[in-house]
Amino acid sequence: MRLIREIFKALSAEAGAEVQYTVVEGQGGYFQNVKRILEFTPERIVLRGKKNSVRIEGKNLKIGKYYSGDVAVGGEIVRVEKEV
Amino acid sequence: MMRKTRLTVDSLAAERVLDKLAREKIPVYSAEKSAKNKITFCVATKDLEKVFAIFSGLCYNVTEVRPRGLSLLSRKLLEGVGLLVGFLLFCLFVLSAQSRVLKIEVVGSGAYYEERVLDVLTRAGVSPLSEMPKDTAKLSSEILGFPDVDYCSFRSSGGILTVEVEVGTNHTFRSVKGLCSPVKGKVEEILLVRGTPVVKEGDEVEEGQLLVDSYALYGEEKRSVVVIARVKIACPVSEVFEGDEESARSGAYLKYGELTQIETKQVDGGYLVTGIRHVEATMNLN
Repeated sequence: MRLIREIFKALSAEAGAEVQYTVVEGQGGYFQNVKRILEFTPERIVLRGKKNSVRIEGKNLKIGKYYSGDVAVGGEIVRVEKEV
Repeated sequence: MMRKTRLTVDSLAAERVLDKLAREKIPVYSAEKSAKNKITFCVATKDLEKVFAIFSGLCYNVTEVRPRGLSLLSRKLLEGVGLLVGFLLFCLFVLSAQSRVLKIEVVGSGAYYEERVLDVLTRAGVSPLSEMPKDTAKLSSEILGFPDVDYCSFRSSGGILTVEVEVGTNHTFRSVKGLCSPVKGKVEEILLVRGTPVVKEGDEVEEGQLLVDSYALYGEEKRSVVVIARVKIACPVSEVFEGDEESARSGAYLKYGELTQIETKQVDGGYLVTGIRHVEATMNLN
């Protein structure tokens, strides 16, 4: 029973996962739990997760890698905003 | 290093291309919006067929960006860097192996000095995997100091250090001849290191008779060898010495050395000394 509880807990956590991110000043950022890319321009990228979206603003924005819900964003990130 | 191919997609919703690929578990690299409706990105070359298969039924204009001119040259050079570095490392390894001692061989007629030669080399710091000796003059002079060594040379090839040691050919040690009896008598004892005895203990021998022959049997083959042997021969002595008995015994000792079973008998003109003299016939043995 404990194992099943743990599995459900993990699945519900995954299902309700928000977009998690880490930004390194001047070197871009790393975003997880991304389901879609809603917008992609050199000045703005909007990433959507299951529960929320993240709007990234900056200059010369690029996507370094996009795979398995992880997005590495390059360029100069000026602002990141969460949108529910 | 993973090889990647650069693609360009023209579409009103170019971002969806990236989502589509991500859903199909195809990693997308270095994506950038090059124009309003144009997105450029890289995928692994091994995934290229899959990418085109995904877009074949959709209204996307996908083109492969092929590097040209300097871009192509720099890419080719970068691809070749690994190969070049590998080749240089291989050359370096071969060169370093050439200058290292992988094996030491002692050849020539003085090859029986191998143990001593290896000892000299070890003391000079030359051993397997060490550097080839640069100054061989000192090593040569030490090896030339071995008994009978007339010639010594060093040569290296393919990591094998060959030391050629030759011993002198005019040395008495190398003369191949048999051991003969210097006196007439009876063989008492034979000490043989090399050669073939032609007599046995207790045999009566004549002066000049061959005792040990200069050959040895290797299986059925008869090979000429250097005799190393000592044979003791008991030789009866009987002689008259002038003077008294003491003088006669002294005279016999001075002439024949130690005698066994010595007896004296007074005769006309002195004393008759009789006894057994023990003579050693030796060849190449101290």
